[in-house]
Amino acid sequence: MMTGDRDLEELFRARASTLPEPPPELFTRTMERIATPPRRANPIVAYWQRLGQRTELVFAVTAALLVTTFGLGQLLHAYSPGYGGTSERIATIKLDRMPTPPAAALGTPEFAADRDAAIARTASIALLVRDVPAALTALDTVARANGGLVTAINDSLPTDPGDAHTATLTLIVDARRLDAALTSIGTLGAQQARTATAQAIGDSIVDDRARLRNLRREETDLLHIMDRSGSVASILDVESKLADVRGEIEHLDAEVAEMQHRVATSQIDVTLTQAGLTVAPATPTLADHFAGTWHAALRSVVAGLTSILDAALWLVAFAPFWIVAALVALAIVLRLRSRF
Amino acid sequence: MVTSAGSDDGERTLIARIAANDPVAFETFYHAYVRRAFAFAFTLTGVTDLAEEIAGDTMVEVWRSAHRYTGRARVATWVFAIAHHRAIGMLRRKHVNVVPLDVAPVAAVWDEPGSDRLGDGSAALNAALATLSPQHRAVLELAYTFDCTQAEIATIVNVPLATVKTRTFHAKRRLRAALERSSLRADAS
Repeated sequence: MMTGDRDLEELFRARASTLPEPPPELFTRTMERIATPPRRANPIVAYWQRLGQRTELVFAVTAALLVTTFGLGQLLHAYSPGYGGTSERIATIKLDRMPTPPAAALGTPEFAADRDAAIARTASIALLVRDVPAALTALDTVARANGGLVTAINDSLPTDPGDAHTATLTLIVDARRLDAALTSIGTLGAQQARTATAQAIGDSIVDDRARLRNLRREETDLLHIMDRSGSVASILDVESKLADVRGEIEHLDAEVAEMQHRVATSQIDVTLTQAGLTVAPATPTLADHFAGTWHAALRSVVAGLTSILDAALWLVAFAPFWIVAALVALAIVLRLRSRF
Repeated sequence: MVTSAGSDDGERTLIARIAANDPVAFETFYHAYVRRAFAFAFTLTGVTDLAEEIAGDTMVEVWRSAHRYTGRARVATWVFAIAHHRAIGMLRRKHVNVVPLDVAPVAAVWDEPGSDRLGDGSAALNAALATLSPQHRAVLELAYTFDCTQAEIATIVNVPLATVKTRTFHAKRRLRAALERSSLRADAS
């Protein structure tokens, strides 16, 4: 039997003359087809039809999208703070947008019923001032003018000629006058930093009040039981329970009062630094230089690794989008490669 | 061999005229190429109806896509590439499979009406080719029947050159094995 390359060539050559010819009517049909303009198929429908012939690809892409979306949802649910269902909402709000509790409601027993109004507001401000003692006196005046007082002072006098005079103060002012107080404090020097926080504690106050009502009912019930005649042992037992309930009532009362105080007043932390001092930089030793270089290098490595991990997480999070984009790009490339 | 009679420059000129919607040029091109397109489609599918459809589609595609021909490949290579793409797509769409020689007579696969005039060697070759996959059959037919270089085959079937060489090697090995089996059966009968 012939099996060499030359034999194969001979076989194919001999067979070539036996291959069928196209029928003559094919020419007529082809000319008719080119004479009629092609119907422009809807590209989306055409693509969908082609995709329908590759069911395994459709299933794979759909499954990948579903798995990725589900995984992403689980990740978000597990790690996002907004999904945790915490009872307290803490937010940093711009000062000019910070809500102020209604003046009429403040100080009344039911003010905490309005959960949205029960917001504990605090602020901090750092100032560069020319004269720290004068600024301390002015801050005391500001606190009093806004219905409050200075609750803490830490005045650090300079020990070396190059050191700056610094002081930190804690002011308590009427919550309704927090913005005015901050404006007044801001005029005392050059502002270096200014932050404000608002914490909604309405839910906590309402919860504590409900528990208080229950405990007071329980106290009344226990007193009724005490009034009945009974054995000494049972009376002692009821007395013990009554003492526990009263202790809890006092604790909750104090807690509610403290929260009401936090809503009615606002705390301001002020940091004062004496301005106008130029401190000569210390000349670093060779060891300091290398230590600094080493720490900088370590920080760079950590930052680099963090960036890579961040990028990986972004890639995973956006997987549904780039997988689809990649598939589309692949389809386009394959289509272009099939042409010249 | 089923090869072209015209020069490539002349065919490029024809393509340029076809791109300018010249039906006379298309007619000339059609008569120069339809036989090869049809023969190539037939060698891939083994069915004249399909080969006719593929050859017609190929010619129509030449008419519609002539303006996209960049001239990087020979005109014949371009036409074979279109025909190959159509044939593979049609085989996939219509789920047309070549019936193995062991379970069907050769005439069921190679339904050429004049097949009775085939010599023993050609009939055996057809039967052996029918046992190969369309990919293996394509590289052998392009190389031996249509006298294409391996680089041109790579362009036509849209695979790397190394893949063409591997396919050719395995295709020839299987073809020889099929021919051997066919020979043994003939001797036994």
